[in-house]
Amino acid sequence: MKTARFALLILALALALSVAGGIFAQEPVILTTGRQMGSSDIPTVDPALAEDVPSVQIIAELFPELVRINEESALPEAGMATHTVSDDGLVYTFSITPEVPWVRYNADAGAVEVITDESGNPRYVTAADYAYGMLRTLDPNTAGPYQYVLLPWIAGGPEFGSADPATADMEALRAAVGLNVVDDYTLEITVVQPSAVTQMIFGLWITAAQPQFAIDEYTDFWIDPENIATYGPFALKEWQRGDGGSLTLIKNPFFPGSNAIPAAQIDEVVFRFLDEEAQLTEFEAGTLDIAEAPDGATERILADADLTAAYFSGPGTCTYYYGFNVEMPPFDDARARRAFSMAIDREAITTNVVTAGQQPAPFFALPSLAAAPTGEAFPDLGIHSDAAAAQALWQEYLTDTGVDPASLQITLLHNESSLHSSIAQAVQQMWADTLGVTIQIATSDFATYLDTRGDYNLYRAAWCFDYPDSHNYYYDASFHSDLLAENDTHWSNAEFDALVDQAFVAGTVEERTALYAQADNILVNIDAAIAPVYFYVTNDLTAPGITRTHSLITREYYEKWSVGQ
Amino acid sequence: MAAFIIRRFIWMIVVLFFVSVITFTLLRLVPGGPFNNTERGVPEQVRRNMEIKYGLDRPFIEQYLRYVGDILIPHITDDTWRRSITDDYLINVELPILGEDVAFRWMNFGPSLRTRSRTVNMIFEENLPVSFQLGLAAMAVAMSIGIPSGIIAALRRNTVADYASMGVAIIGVSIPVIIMGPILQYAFAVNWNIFLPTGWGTLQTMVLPSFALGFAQSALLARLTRASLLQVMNEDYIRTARAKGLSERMVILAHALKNSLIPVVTVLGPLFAALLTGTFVTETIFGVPGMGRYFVTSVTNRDYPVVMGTILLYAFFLVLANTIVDLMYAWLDPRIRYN
Amino acid sequence: MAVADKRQESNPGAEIAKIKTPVKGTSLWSDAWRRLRRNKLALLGGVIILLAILVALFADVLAPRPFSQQILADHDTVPEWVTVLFPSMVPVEDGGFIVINNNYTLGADNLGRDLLSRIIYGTRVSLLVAFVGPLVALLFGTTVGLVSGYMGGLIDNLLMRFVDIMYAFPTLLFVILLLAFFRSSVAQPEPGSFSAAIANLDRASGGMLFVFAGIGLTSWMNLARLVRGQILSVREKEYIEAARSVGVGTRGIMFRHMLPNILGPIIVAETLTIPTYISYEAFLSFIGLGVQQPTPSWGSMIAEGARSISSYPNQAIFPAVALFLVMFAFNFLGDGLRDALDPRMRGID
Repeated sequence: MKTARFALLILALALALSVAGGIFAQEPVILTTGRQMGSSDIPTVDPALAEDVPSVQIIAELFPELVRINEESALPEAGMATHTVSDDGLVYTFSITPEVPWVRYNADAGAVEVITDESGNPRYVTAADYAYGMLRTLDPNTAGPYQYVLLPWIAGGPEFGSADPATADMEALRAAVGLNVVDDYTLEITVVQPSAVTQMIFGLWITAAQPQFAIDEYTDFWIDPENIATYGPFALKEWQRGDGGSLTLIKNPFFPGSNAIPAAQIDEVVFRFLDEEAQLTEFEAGTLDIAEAPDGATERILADADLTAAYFSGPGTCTYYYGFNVEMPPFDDARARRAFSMAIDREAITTNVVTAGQQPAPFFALPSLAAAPTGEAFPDLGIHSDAAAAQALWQEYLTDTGVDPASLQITLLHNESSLHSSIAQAVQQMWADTLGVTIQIATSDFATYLDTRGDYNLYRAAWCFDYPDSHNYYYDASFHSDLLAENDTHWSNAEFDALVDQAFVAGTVEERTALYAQADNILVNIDAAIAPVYFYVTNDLTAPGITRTHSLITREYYEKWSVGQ
Repeated sequence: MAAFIIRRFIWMIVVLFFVSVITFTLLRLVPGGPFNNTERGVPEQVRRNMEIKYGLDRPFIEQYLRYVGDILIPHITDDTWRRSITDDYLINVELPILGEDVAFRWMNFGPSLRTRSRTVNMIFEENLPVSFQLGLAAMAVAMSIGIPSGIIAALRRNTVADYASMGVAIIGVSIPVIIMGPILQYAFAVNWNIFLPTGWGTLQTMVLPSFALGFAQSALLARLTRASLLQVMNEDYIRTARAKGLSERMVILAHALKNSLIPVVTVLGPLFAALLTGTFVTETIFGVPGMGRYFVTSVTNRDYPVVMGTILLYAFFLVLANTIVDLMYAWLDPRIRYN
Repeated sequence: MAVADKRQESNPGAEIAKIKTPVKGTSLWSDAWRRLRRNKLALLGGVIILLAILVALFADVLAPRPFSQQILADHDTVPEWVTVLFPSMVPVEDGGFIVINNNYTLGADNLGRDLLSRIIYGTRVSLLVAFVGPLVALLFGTTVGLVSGYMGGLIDNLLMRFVDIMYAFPTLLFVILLLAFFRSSVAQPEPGSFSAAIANLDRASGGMLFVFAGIGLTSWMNLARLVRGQILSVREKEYIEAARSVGVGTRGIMFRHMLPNILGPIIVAETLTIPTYISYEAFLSFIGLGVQQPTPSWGSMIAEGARSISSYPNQAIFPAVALFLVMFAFNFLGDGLRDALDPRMRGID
């Protein structure tokens, strides 16, 4: 999903809590989520067009998925449907929760209302709506940025999704997509190949039901609060665009609720778009109930009893790493890459430079993912910071190749950010101290960085998962040679590919984990195409009196939260 | 005078033309595109879909002509017209005479390619008023600190009052908003709970950002007022006025002030235009939903229509402001003639 | 000279002053210097700027440590006196989170680099930015404004429309675009090519070349407009008519008669714009496009420090104080110069 650079959005929650006697009093609760300078507000709440964390957060509450990924275990469970899988693993049959109505907030009436059809009957969310949603996501005419994530999974999807609308018979291709509406509440989906990961895909926002009646009527503006139709535990009440603006969700009283997606207990959730620092200020002023904690303030928070009580630090969703360009000297030689990777003192970085609880990353995938190797299970896995070994390896490289270290011009590119700048300067110093090589650091804005990072000797990057499975790291992060065109290290390895392909279909979690551990050893240690630096953390502040869950998967489920006395 | 205004109007169009050509070209020369905004490279085919949808696959000249055409060419639409992010107009006039749902529509500034759920028109409509309010409020702060300080300083030249009033104005310009913002927030919002740290629309939220932004500009006005007033006070007609036996107060109010405001007026127009759009830091720190942030982020996002739209809007305001400044010259100093 | 005669008529005090200092002392500049010396605050400003220039020149000698020397373990530490200055910084021993380390006079930054040394070296960038902007503005802006205001007509229109076009670009946005364009076009140049030479120059200047280029390209229009505005009000004045009637040439009128008369506002405007140039640099640093690290500049230090200003106020406020002092100095010096250079104030004290 959207990257770590979307690490700064701001949400605020207004909760109404019931007090004794059944009288409702408004008590605003405010929550902050990542949002950076790169954007000015939540870009969209259209499931077919969303690609960033803030948008996906809102969509998860408005358009819940067939499969719900549990935010605390990061494992899939029954969402808006229960399902069975055919023996060959190719056909998924979903039994969809019946009579969940499409709703919309009526500002004049001040209440959420059920949407009715021409004859006045409620419109319910049916199998056809899910099929329509997935087809709309896949349709090249929709031009959704996350289309490619869904594309390889559903039978007929690749043909339909990558067709040229100008020349192909789109209707025939659409009909051939493996989505079979059996009846109003039964949907059969045929997938391309059996895999351990498929369930996760049906837990992504891109598979949500979409209201064709509203989209046909209002085109691109169907997501405006006065036009939108939603079915989740919350409905869209208000949306003031722009930095400093806000988005308000209101409880949907017509949502039936289930184990995974209960009916909401909070009446309203107000998301305010603010920078992290501004959130902390609001939180301290008592005007924000939930704030994302800026890294720079961690030590101050931990020295303050009230703030510490409100503080929570949990695993993040990204891995910070440096990518080596394997086509440019000196990093066309694995020894040079390994030497540089080993010369990074990860421990020193996480204790001195990024000081908000980040963990050193000896390997690539986040340990909290499904089928991910962990430090406990694989203590020797990965590359370990070792100055002496790095020096020896670097000397060996220099002697063998006859390269004059003084003639080396190595440039590291990072996108603008004081954090990236500090880390780059720290590793610059480490490389100068350990290897005697002083690299250059170049900075550019994000768009230029993305466009040009493949032209530098090395670049900083972060991979943040779309869905919490190791496949998303080892395959989708473009290190598999299927995606070589998008891989800015230009590295590929057939053995790595084979291991990742095998883990994709393998049966048990243990088998998959072992395969990913072997793949990681090639990527990070033997070939050292990348140098992982640290695993992200998610730090936030919660005002007293709020009962909540802490998510591992970038989106919170507010229907599980409550405000108690 | 009328001829002068008409001439200025024609020039404005020429300026806007050059500005649009230069910006359009420069934007396309900078690497990166509007659909390249995740660290995973967007697959070629997805990018192609999006480029086709928004016409970015067409030749450069055609893209420019289409962009300009969308803005300039008015449309008469009927009931088959569907509003979408690529087909949204700033000016919509219903024409019931020609039939139901028929309307005259003009000025389509295009979609925001980054959000894909808004148009540049919507950004103008929703965020520009906020920037306008912030700009006006900041200007009021700047003038109410700057001009009196300048006058006091000029009248009490080289006294403690001079140094003190100029000192206050200079403090504003010497402390960057990056520092002043958080200090104001912690003092007035967290510690004393007088104002709210962020937001917009209520007095409690508007005071701090307006002050932070306006205070920084007050020194400019104070300096110019002081310099200009000192200069004017040595003019012959002031001496004549004094010689006539007018009270010092009358001399200053009736003669000196008006003429000393000429250089001050010169900067007011550009100052307001700058306040309108150049408020990125202030808006970020105080969470003000104005244009400033769109302005900067649209460049880093390569959101071509938003960059074009905001630059053209800014250019329009500036040219307008400068024209008004020239007219003010003539009004303030009758010896200046336009012919 | 008409204006001098007028002054003598109406200011007998000056007459006396002139008698006391015969012929030589009445030239514009020596007279100005004489009056500048009496303005204590302006002199103080001048002294501060001179000191800043000396600090910039002898940074190597003055700085206790190299500006890029990191001791990661010392990150964010402060000496004891700083905790007294900022009561919110409570040392660990007293239940706070501030680590005391008296090795650093002003404290260490987030990478354990000496703040004092970085402030000392930062003087270089900030002063360069402060001088390059006005230099470009003076060269282009004054010339364009003078010619435009004096000539009027077609030339005025053409020049002012050119200024309008340039001016219509929002400065910072234009700089961001230019920086992105420049930097990416010389990112990985062919060795020996022109762009490689530019890239090396940029690298040698700590990435300042493009910052200067961007600021320079966008800084002169203001002054051009101001000068033109001044000329418009000056050109119809009697002493210009008089000069013209006695046959003084165009260039003579522009540079000998008009320029000295409008020098006050120009200097005032430029001294006042210096903070703007420096704050451009800070803003560009704020969004990561300023001077390339580890080259320190006050702007980038303030931008960097502001992110943790609630925890470590010293990291932002000390460079801000340095910036503040220089701003104040420029302002008061500019003010003093204005008074000193105004020809109609000659002899007035």
